[in-house]
Amino acid sequence: MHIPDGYLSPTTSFTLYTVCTPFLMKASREAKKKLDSKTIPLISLFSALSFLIMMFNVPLPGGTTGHAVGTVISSIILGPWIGMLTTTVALIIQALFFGDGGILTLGANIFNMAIVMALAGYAIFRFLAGWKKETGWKIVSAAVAGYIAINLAALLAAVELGIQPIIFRSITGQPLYFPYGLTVSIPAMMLGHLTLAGLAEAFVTGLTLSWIYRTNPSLITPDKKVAKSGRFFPLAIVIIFLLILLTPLGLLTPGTAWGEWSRQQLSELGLGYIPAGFDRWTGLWSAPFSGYNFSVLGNSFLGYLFSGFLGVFIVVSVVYLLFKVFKLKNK
Amino acid sequence: MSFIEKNLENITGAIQNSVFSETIAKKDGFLQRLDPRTKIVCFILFLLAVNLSVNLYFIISVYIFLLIFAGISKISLKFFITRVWLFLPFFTGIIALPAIFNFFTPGKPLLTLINNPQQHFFIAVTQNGLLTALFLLTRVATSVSLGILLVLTTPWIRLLKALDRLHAPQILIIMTMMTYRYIFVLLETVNSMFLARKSRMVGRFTQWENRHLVSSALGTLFGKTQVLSEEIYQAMLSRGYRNKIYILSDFSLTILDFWSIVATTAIIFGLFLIWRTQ
Repeated sequence: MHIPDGYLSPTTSFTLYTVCTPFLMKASREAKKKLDSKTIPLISLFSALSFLIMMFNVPLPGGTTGHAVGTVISSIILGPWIGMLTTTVALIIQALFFGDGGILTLGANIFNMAIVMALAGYAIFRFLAGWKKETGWKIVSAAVAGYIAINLAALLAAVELGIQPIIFRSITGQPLYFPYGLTVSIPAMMLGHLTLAGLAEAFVTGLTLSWIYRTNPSLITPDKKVAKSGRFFPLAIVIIFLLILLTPLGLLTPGTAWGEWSRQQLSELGLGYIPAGFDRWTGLWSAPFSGYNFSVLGNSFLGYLFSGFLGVFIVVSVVYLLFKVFKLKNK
Repeated sequence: MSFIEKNLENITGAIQNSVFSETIAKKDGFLQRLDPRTKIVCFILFLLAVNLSVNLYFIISVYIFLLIFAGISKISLKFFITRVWLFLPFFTGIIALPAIFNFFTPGKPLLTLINNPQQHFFIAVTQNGLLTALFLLTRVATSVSLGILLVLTTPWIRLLKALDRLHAPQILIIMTMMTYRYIFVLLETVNSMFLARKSRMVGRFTQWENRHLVSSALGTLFGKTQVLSEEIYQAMLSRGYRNKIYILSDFSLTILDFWSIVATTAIIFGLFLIWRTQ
């Protein structure tokens, strides 16, 4: 997933560098608060370990091997901010001295593999692990968190690559950087990560955590404050926000979601008839923003984003009102 | 090959690689004589120019200049070229290949492979497609070569010190320095762990046992790393560490550095003007 130089335009690269800065600043503040003068030796040593994890070949079913990134296991053991920093330093060394990933694209790689993986992986782990107290369940949660987090990172990398030919073309029309659009980059990237790399990350995260629980449980930082789910509220908002930003991707897929046809599309499907019940009910409700389109905005991309925000807002308000009405207390 | 051997090979490869870089960095060549700060500035100028350029000839010309720089810095050209072009076709080459055909990049057909008008089946290499693939390949190759040139001619510690003098965030530089140093300590540890396991193995391991082996090695490493970092911290304290680190350096700019930056700018603008009309 290490994007080399030449695949992304400098504009994209600098945008992602800028996006990384506040996260890394927050992370180093958190690290200093937690570790004080131990910050430098501890993070350096664990960065060295993070570098090693990325080098390990993990045996996978079918006799192949894959590489894990290891951000999620570091985040579970050391906390998401320190986990983020250790992967960042390891990525810097890989780019500078080993030519793994580019210098201009370093910001993109840090964003995908350090920042997003640490925050998302840790949040998913905490969310799942909070359900049951058994160690076995925690290990499964860790593996699932690793699997989802690496795929999220791969998806982001695919999006960063896939937008290149949309934005950057020469006067004669040929793509200047990564040549394939999102319809190619996303399936191509996800195929490898949903299978090999995802499994490698899941194995490394789950099995390593299980080994540490059995042999050295004191290693895992007990963080009492974290146990409260309330602390993940801001994180949940960030993730929802990211997902909303990704909604326009839906525009790229041709056709309608299976089973969500309108009356006209149904007749075009070649079914030969329109189900009678469909005809009866279909005129009952006409949505105010049919097809997520806001003619006022005149741009389907913006319309999608706006629909996303509006949808989330409506859902949140309804749930809030229900809680108020039934006087449920959020413990 | 078993995965233990694969891991052992990876580990020794990384060590060999860095030792080899250091031997080239110690040679008395042109780039080795430059101040590392100058090299970083020129490196960034070239990298930006190559990545911003919309002209294929410009990128190829920069690559030719890099070959000249490698030559006068006593880097074997054969090594410099193969190091990039040996692995590039396997990664970027495979990615770039489909782009030459008309179904990914439509355009004027240069070479028609299949033409079956009855079934609307038409496969051809297009001019635009070829250009697209060449753009990606040359851009990546030139960027990677630039990085290799910088790292091969500069010892890592001087490179990081130079970044510090250029006002990169100091905490990041210090952590990178320390990490780089201890990567090799941990590599040694892992190497002995795998070797010890291998020397005790008689039968074959199942996939599941192999995975357990990797994860228990990692779990143990987490523990060892924790202990080691504590020891290093104690050692730092006993030597008077008070939360502040000073990076010493003995850099001095010479007239050569001045002319190098002038030459870099001249090369970039010169090439830009030459290929502007293309």
